[in-house]
Amino acid sequence: MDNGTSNSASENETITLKSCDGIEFHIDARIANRYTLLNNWNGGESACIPNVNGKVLEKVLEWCEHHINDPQLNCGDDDSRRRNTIIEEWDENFLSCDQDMLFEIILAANYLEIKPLLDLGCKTVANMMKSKSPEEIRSAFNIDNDYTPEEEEQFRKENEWAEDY
Amino acid sequence: MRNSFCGLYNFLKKEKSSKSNNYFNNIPQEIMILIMLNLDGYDLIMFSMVNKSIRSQTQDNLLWRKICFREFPNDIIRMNYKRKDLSLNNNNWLNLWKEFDKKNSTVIFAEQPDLSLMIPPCWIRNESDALHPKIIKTTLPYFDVHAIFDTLMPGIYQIVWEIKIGPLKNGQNFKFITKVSDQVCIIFIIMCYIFNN
Repeated sequence: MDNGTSNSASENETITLKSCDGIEFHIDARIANRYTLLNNWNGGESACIPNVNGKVLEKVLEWCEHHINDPQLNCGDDDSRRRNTIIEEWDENFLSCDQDMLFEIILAANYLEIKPLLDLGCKTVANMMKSKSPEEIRSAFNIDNDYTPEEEEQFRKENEWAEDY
Repeated sequence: MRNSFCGLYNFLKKEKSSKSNNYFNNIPQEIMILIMLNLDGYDLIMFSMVNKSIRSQTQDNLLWRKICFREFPNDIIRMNYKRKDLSLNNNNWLNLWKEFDKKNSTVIFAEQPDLSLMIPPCWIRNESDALHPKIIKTTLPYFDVHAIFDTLMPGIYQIVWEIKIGPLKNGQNFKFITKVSDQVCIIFIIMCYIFNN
């Protein structure tokens, strides 16, 4: 890694990233400076980012580009950021893709240590589960129910604390 | 070299996901925790009832400790005041959460003993304030609430039900019925319907 570029990247500098299926992306060097891991993948001709394919990387980089001027948050306010359940309109549209892509973006953001995008993805998934019954969650995420009716009844009872009134 | 390795990795990943057909199985526990931290305790209980592997993932003691501190800070302060142990390992924080929730939750009485019929599964007990001590929230198109007051002195009381309705689509309308029966105790029955024409 070249220290000169990482410290003082000017606007027109670009770096090259390669997805695991060989698609190349030329991105603003400022994006790579923000997220250290992206920077680490820069440079090598044959270097590619394993685990992240072109389609997903394109989305991730699109998000990074849109948020390039956001203020950087300190690690300390993790919790407050997470509790803020409001999602910006642009982000909401950005993540209203199919669930395959949404979960791929979350995994890629985790892998590339892009924390704000990871939080955003987790928040989006959580919002899809809020105020839903177990049956509704199952159908929303296409999850099989592996409980026997007896077990289900037992958990329902266990959680029926309203019973005590 | 790298490319072919990645290809193999993706192939393996696909194999795995097509077998289980469930995104949550492929997510590392640390990300599951991040997702679950966005939910409140009640939603998490509902989530835990989805299936077995999800249930085991929702039983994280640290997660429930965080939720207890977030949702019931007053009870935690009281516990601390009584010099009770607040450490992670010496408590089952999920059970504590249930205890706190029981103490603080909306009191809705039902005339039938089987409450599961009366209270729909997706009620949310929200943070309440002095003006709105008993807030419940639902997205169901039809529900009813039964309330029994059995320790009131004779007199004239004013009871206020506030209902906030989200945006209605064209052709939908809203009906609100209150029945008051005065027997040994007073029973209020409220029914709300949203009609879809």
